[in-house]
Amino acid sequence: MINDGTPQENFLGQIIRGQIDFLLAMLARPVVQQQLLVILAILLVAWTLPEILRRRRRPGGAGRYPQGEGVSLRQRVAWFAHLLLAPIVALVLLALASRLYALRGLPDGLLADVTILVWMWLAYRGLVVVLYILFGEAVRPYRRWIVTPAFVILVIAQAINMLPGTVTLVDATIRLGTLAITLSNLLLALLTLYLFIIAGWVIGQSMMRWLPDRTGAEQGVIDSIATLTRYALISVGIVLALSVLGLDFTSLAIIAGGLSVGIGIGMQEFVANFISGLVLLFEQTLRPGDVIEVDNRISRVQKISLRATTVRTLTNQELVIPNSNFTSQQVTNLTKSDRIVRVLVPFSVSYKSKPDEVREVAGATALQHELVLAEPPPFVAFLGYGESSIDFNLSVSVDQPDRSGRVRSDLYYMLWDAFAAHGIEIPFPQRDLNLGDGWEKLAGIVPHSKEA
Amino acid sequence: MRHELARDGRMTTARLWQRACLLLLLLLLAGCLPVAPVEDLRGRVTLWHSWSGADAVELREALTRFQEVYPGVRVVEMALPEGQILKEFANAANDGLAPDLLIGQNRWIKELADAGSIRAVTQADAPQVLASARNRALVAYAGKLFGAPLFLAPRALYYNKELVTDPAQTLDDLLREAAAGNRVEFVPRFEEAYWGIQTLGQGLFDAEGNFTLAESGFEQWLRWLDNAQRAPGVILNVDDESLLDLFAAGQIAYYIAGPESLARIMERMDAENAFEVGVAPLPGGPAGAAGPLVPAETILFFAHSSPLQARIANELAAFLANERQGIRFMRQLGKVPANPRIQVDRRIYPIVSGFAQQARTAVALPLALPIDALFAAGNRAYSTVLSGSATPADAVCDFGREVVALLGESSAAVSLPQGCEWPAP
Repeated sequence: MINDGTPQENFLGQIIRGQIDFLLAMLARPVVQQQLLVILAILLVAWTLPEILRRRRRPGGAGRYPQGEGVSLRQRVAWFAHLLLAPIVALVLLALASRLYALRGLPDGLLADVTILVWMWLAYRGLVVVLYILFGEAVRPYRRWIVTPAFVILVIAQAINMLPGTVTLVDATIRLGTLAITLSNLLLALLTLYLFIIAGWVIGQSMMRWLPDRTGAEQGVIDSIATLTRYALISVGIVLALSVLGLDFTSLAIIAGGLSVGIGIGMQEFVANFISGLVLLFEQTLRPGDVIEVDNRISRVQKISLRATTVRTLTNQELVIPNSNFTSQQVTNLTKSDRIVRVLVPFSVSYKSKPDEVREVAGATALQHELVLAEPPPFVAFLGYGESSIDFNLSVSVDQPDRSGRVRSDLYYMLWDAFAAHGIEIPFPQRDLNLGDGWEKLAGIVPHSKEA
Repeated sequence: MRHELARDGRMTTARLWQRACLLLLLLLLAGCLPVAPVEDLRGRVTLWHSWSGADAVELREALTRFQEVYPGVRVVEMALPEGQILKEFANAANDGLAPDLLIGQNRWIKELADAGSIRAVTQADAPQVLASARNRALVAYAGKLFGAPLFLAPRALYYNKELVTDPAQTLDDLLREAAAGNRVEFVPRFEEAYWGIQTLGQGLFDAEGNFTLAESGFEQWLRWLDNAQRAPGVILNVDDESLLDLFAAGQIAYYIAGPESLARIMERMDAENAFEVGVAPLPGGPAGAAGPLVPAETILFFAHSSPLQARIANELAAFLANERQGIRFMRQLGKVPANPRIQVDRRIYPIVSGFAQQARTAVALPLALPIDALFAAGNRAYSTVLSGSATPADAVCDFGREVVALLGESSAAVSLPQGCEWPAP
């Protein structure tokens, strides 16, 4: 770890080993050991004391954020106070310990450093309290993905700033070919990328939440825009992160040019699916919720992403179908312009039945089904005179295409009962057998058949 | 399970008892901590410095040799930028995380000792180095010795051997040579140009560290400088880099600077116009030899090392200051050893010898003084005289009053020239 005033490479392994040795040397000192033990003891008390107090006050009390209609303001305040108590107790004890150290004239810098960290802890919890007050439980994902990571990053940065010699550590170099990356640049690049990913997520969520009401646009369009925005931000984040690392984009372009043929062949499918995904998103050929028929299966579209579309079949199976299938093959969209589909229920009755009565009974029965629409009304078509029956086709309209099979089944049940109630017979197939002059020949063989 | 947090996040009784027991154990451990017996030199010792380039490489080699002598010891060495190392050390010392040894300037001693960051040593801790009274004066503060000087850096007279055969030995010689074409240049600031004061009178401080302005040659020296700046062939300028470039270009015969400038001179010297550089003591005057201030690179000891680390640190400091290492540093790096046992033979080390000779008459600044403020006041005296804003007598009076104000209660040990009024209390 030599400094001659010019940039030079400090290899990470050497520096980390030096830092570990340095820390071990520090830990051998009584003045450091005692401070660390005091800090540990204070943190233990700070964590334990609020718990003891709460158990005394309310033995069966809940530990999670109280929510629901029955929760009083007092309960919420108690929960918030409990959240803040630990850092406050730690700060009070640290102040007392620092005072004692000062009276003894001993170094107390570690206590002061930890005091700063505990102030940050208090600020973090205070912010969490404010967010819960303002937004309730909805704030949980934001706390998890934004507030807590930001707090952790700040704590790490502060800790690095506190430890002596870590200035050298963050300037440590990792060599990848001709590219020399310092640890600080690597951390900065990761932070940049993370920020853009989070920004993409937050903006996407906000768009999906606010745009439908304010613009009147279809949910599918907004989903598409949100997805593209997220990918765009992530792409920008990647480019910025690489530039922070000092990557030379000129050489990257040359490498990319050389590899483009191989990549093109290898990723042909992927690119085709990606482009198809964009087409689906912008053309709105499919939208989440659409009912489609693909590979002779009726399915509902669950999610359209840039590479593949997820559908759920009537048998509740999830299929992930590459997007290029939808642009290269014929796909039946049962709900493209509207969601109404016709369900056909063919049936036959005996020649003893009156066709008009059959039509009325079948039509009325169909209307009794909850999913059958009154408009357009059910239609009973007279198909023709069969060999042993007269044939009809009941056609009804439903607006839930994925339930058309069930409607058809229900109607068969209902027609059975309705025809039975009206004395309409559903015939067996009948056959007239003409033996010509064969009866005489059969007489000797089956003597009683004629009598029977 | 009983030992886990309840599902709703509450702490179980078992967990509470666990924490209480752990707390008790920690307190017991804290009470029992001091201190591992010092039986063997095995362990880690930490060293900070601001050396760079070849200096750092040589230092590392010295540390490797030390670890060969003591295989159980690992020296954790770290180089920090020169402008940051004092602040970093002070901050780390407050945490208890400062290195066991710091190679720094002796002028840092007051600040670090006042903060309780460095520990006092005895002559027995570094017997070779601290045997010299001058060396003891370099690290003496508040009646104690803090650290051991390793290398000295007094200003001396660089000269171009192609232009000068016998370097000037007196101030008059210097002016005469300058008028004859052997140009002279130096920086007219307090620290850099202190050396002339005792050529024309006493120094500013006596052996006890009292401020003896009345008896000093300060006023005469300022007058000499004022005359010299108008003399032909004398360049007085605070732009040290430009002065160094002129000397390295072979245009100047004499240049006054410390040993740290040698590497830069050689670096900037044009290969086609290369010349041999000589170093001689600064010219004397009617009152005696020149007395430049002598900064010393000093090894300082952290006050809160463990006993074992302190013992290893003492051994390492003695090792770095011993004759063998001193000779290596002198040979490889041109450093001027503080160890008085090291013979600096002029025939073998002509340049180091010039500085070593100069060091014999150099002045150790009393560390109890507020050095930065003193230098600032001194610089004002030089600049007002050389710019014609004040007479030497007035500048010296102003300087004296500033020093009295700086010293505060201890100003009884100050003597001002006649005619100078004491500042109002």
